[in-house]
Amino acid sequence: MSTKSIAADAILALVESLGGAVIRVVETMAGAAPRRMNPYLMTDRATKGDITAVMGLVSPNEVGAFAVSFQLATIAGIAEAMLGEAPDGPGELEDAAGEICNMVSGAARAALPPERAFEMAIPTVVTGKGHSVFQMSDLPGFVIPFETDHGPFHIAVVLKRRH
Amino acid sequence: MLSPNARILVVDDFSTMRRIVRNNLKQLGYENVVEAEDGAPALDRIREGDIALVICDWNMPGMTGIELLRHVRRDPRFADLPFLMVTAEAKKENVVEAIQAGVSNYVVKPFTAQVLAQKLEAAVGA
Repeated sequence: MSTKSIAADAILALVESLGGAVIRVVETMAGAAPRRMNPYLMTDRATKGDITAVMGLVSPNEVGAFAVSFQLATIAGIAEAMLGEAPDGPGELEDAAGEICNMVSGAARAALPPERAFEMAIPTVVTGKGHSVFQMSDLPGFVIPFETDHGPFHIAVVLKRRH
Repeated sequence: MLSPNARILVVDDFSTMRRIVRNNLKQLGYENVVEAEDGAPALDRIREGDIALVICDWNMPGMTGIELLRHVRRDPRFADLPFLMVTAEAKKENVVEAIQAGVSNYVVKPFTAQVLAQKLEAAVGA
């Protein structure tokens, strides 16, 4: 198996686990499952969201990051459904995005087999139109879009072999 | 079983999760809730001696939830203080580590209000 195909296998396993995890997290915490759309290869590093929570990840063989990126109306609606009341301003929307990222990483790690295990850190939240969260521009990346009753969001993953 | 006036400490670095837990507790009839953003201020608050239950995140900057739990259990005054870990750390080894450190019960995120209520009741011996 080539170096490139090993990284592709790893990223696909990670994308699948993250995709399943984000559905479970949003459905459990906000009461409605997001609808998964067709994934695609990342062609540029600018996100389509207004608020993005990003988390570095590392395994013995790979290094990379994943992000959950929301349009403002989407995270506002999801946060209100999670809290059971209106969120308290932009800071709480950023906080909600970070907490969703945190829960998704935990659920995804639990779903991965031991040979695909990753360690992940505490999320960082970035805001603003067209922001970029992936500085490692040479890495292959995948995007999975989702639709919710509150609007769209997506997750993005970049990964490469460490050695 | 906790009295409705029991003071509950919720520890999480995310204000969203503190608010979700606080609102769930309110639905269960517990409104005497205080909060801390990580383990160090939580430990100070516990040492004041009026906390009846701790609901704590695992993964926080500064003192983590498991470190807080170990500090709490080292103090004989709090050897039996109900301590509920609410965390995204869902791996079996994390659960084992928390049990060995003396956790009363363990809730894996994401969770529903019903699950939190069940775990809380088990943690306080209802």
